[in-house]
Amino acid sequence: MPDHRIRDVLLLRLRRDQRHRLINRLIGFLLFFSGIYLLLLFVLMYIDFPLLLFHYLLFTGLSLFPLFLILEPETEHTFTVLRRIDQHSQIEAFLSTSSTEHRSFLEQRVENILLRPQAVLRFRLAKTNRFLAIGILCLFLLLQLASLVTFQRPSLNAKAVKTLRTQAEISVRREPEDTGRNRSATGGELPEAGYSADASSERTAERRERSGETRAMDRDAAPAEADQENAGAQSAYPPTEGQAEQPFPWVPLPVPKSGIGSALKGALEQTPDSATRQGELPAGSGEAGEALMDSPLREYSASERIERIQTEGGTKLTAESSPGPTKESSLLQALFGDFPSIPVGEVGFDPAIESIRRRYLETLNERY
Amino acid sequence: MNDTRINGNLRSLPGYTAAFLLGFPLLLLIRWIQRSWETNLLASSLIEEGIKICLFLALYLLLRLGKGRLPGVKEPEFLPFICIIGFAIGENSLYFFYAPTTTIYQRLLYSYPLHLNTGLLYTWIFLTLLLRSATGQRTLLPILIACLGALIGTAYHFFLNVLTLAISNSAVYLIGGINILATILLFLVLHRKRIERSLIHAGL
Repeated sequence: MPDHRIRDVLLLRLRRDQRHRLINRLIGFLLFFSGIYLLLLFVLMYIDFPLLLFHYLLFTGLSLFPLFLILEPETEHTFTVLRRIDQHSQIEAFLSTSSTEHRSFLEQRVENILLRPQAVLRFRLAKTNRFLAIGILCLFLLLQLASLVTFQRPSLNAKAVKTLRTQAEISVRREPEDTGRNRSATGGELPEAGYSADASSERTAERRERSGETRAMDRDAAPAEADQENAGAQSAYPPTEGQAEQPFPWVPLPVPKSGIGSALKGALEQTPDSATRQGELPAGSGEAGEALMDSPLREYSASERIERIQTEGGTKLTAESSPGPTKESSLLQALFGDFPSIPVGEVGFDPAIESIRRRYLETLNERY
Repeated sequence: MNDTRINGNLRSLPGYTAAFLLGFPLLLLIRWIQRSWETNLLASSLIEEGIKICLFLALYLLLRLGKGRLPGVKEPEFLPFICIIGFAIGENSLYFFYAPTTTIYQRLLYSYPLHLNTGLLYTWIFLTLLLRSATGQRTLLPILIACLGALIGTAYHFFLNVLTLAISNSAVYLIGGINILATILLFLVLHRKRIERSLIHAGL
């Protein structure tokens, strides 16, 4: 066998081994990345971890891929593989000598080595990867178990985990309030803010029930921040007549954590609550639903609404000078409170909301 | 993994880390130059690729001074590439905090492989030149290949920059796929070159 042929066969074997190593490193990277993802989900589940940081760590973790492929001393590995193929360095000895006597002695042995089926070069999952895979599997099971225990359902999505955590926090925070409300409901006397005199107490209870359902639905969607804002707003806003005994006469405005995306989505898909969210849709929201942090547009849209209240609303609303959550809460009351309780022309809406309101009142008249 | 390999990896770790961290000031330097000169797309590509090539030239000089070796680093020819990875990750971070939306992940298909591909191309050329000089082949051809490689890298960078402005959002995934394929191909070619070098080291 000529020298160049021996070199070619060796090179072929080494390349094959290298392919196996690259596949192993690729698997290693995937496992490493899965590990990072699961660990971050764990952190997200139990710590108030910003979603932005979560995505940044994930993003940077993915960027480390080339380092996984490049960081390994090739020379030392080549020697290891060479020794696996040719344990007694007979190929090197054959190629390095010019003596015909030595070459003829080694030639047959070298040929045997090169023609031998190379069981040593079969693909095997690296030991590190095997341990890593077991570790990741355990982590995955642990995470799902923790999710089941904490949120009563398994979860692998960061956004879902964050929402579930927020929901759990809200429900824990609202538990005493709900208990208090139930106690007062059993008392039977609950005056409705601005409610018309001809409405029966049965209808009032029914409406309250419906409002409770909506609140529960919104509680599912609203993140902690929105809740905090609304809670702050409710405490800051002086209770109007008839509201004194009713701590939450309106449902909190669901402010999506990830900007305005879900609002836009809701409006486009015409979901049941899309009409109520129309006011949240500022124009030109190109990357709706893709933001990894709170959108400044939300603040912008809020201030725009306050502006409208100031120009079209009554003196009661304009009396509040700070554009804080107080004015926001009055808008919330107008949006989500019972329609009969809103004096006509007090708050200005856009035409779409106005037509929905009109239609709602018409339906109400048809039914009763 | 035997002791030698572990030692080799650990011994090179400070050098590789330093090269990786060097990528961040390099990014700031490039940004500063681009802002000071208010460069257009072509000039930006030229500056970025020019600085990458300067990294290889600096390494070449260091290797000349160290007689082909760099103390503490097993495979010094990868230092510029690691520096480019640091630079690209730094750039990714800048864009991430500038526009934190889920579309930022598209950078991993488009802009990030762009830097990787040019870095891999230059590393492959550099390794080829080192091997040729190790085997005593000193001709003008390698220098021509190096110049051609630099030109290809810059043209590729500029072309993709221009293309970003022209293509739709979905086309990013198509070009991203091609980019990733190119990266894999370049990795394979580079690894083959590494084996060849190892065989030379082994006296084969």
